[in-house]
Amino acid sequence: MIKEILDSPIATWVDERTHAIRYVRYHLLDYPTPKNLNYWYAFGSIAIVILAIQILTGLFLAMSYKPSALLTGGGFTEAFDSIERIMRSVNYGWLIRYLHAVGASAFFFVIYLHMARSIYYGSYKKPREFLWIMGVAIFFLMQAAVFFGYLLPWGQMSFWGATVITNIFGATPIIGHWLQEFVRGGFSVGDPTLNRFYVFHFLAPLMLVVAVLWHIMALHVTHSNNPTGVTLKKKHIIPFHPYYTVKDLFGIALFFTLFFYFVFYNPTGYGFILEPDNFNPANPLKTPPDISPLWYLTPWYEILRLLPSKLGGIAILNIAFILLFLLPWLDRSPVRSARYRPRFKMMVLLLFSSILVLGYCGHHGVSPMLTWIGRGAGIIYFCFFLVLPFVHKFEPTVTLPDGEA
Amino acid sequence: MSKQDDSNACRSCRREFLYAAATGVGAVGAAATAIPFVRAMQPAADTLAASTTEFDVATVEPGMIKAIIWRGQPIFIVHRTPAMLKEINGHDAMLKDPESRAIPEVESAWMTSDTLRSTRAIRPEYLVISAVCTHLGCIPTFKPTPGRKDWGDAVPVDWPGGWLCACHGSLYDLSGRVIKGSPAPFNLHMPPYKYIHDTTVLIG
Repeated sequence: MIKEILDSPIATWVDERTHAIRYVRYHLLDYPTPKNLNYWYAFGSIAIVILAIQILTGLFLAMSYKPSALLTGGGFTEAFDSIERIMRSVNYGWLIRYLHAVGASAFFFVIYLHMARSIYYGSYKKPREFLWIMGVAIFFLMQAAVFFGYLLPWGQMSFWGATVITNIFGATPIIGHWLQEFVRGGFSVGDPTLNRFYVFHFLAPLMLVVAVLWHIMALHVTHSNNPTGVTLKKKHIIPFHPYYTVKDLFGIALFFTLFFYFVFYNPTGYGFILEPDNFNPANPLKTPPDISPLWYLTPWYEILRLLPSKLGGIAILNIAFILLFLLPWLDRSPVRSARYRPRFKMMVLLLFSSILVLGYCGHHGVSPMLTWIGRGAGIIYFCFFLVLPFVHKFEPTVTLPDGEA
Repeated sequence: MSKQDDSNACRSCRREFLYAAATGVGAVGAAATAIPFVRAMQPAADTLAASTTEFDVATVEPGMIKAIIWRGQPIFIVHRTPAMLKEINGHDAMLKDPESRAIPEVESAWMTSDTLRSTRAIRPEYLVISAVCTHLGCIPTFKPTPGRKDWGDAVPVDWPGGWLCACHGSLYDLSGRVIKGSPAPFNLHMPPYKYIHDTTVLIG
């Protein structure tokens, strides 16, 4: 049926004037893909579906949300009340908000798996460096999006999370104090902060869409890597449609099963998706006993507090992020996939474990025990990047499967 | 036709059936997904709940008019003097719908007699009526005295007294009934209301 539509006179007429149909043909139907991609390769498509869900639900939430910290008759604020109105009075408002909140967690869940896949199979290596850089840029844009978005309900965690993170800007040498007030639009997080954060939160998806398009443009020049990491011969290349349209749709169906379990049966996700403290309205006079960010930011939050120095923590967090960008150049092995790099494989699994441990420590309150466990995990994280440029010299020789190069 | 071809043809028709069935189920699912989003744009429960307004009509002096808000839209309360009530009669030939029967919005269950259909009020001295012109939604201006004495040629020579909508020139009499020749199609709408105390009305 798709073939009939694309061959129809109307499609031909449009294509002769815009090339739209040949873009669809090239990028969605005939696009050449390796035949040996496993289900780890479905997360890209799943992430695009989640981005679409976030934009759609976000637009509908924006129709009822009010970005104002002004007090209302009930003693709360316009913003907090408007969220409660969405939950109680707006038709299906609860569903749209839960889709958006669970969608944020799902987005990170899927992107972390997507990134892990890239690292494990060496997909960041030449010639896919730009693809990797755009991917990391998308990851940072997502972090910005959730940070700005988390202030909007104007609950306790919203307020104190924004207070803590904007304090980070205050640690910048010399201009710190000025910068902090500049970001907040006042002496403390308040109504002006909420207004601008709403604008930034709305801006994030626009930038994300551009970054994702660039990510896909880069992919469609270099084409997909595959689990062997070897560039495949022509006979092992198959068209995207129907092979991966159907495979990705099946992956999306499996993902939706998990996703809608949370949306309909467990929208707070045991406090991991919506934190209990954030159901309390913001109170500038009282900090909640335990403020940790949501689960997907906890590894980075833990790195931030590894060192007993404000500026030091911020410095190593920046280094941790910059190292991610440099990954394609730090890895100097000619072999891509961890399947054929036993030493690298161990390092990668250690890296993933260290991020999980950092996340665990970052989620829990400060204790001497967890501080030292966190520091151990932090050392492993940085050691991965330190050892990476040299590990290929100690790698045992493993025969690669037959490929083109 | 060989046996091989036969089984291939059958496999193909089976595939086409599965393809159509899967697409059909997917299309139904996509349509169902649209329901919550469309419903979310319809009035919310609290908007619908804020749909009654109370008003003490005795606060309007005789001959005066007040505009109040019901469901975000203005309602006129007019305290009609005996002289004004007399102006209502005698010009039925000028009206598009003198008995307010054209559409359900212009009549009420309590309009059980000819008198009630011409005064269009439960208590004739207090007219409670929508202030929204039935043409394109402007608020008409109150011009209660008959003739051109007070209004000049803004009103016709045989002006019975009532409202003139400045937007597009629709004319209504003192019961809010539209005068022939106006662009407005219907009389001013009659909001649902009742007396809950001596002089207090509950609109909605």
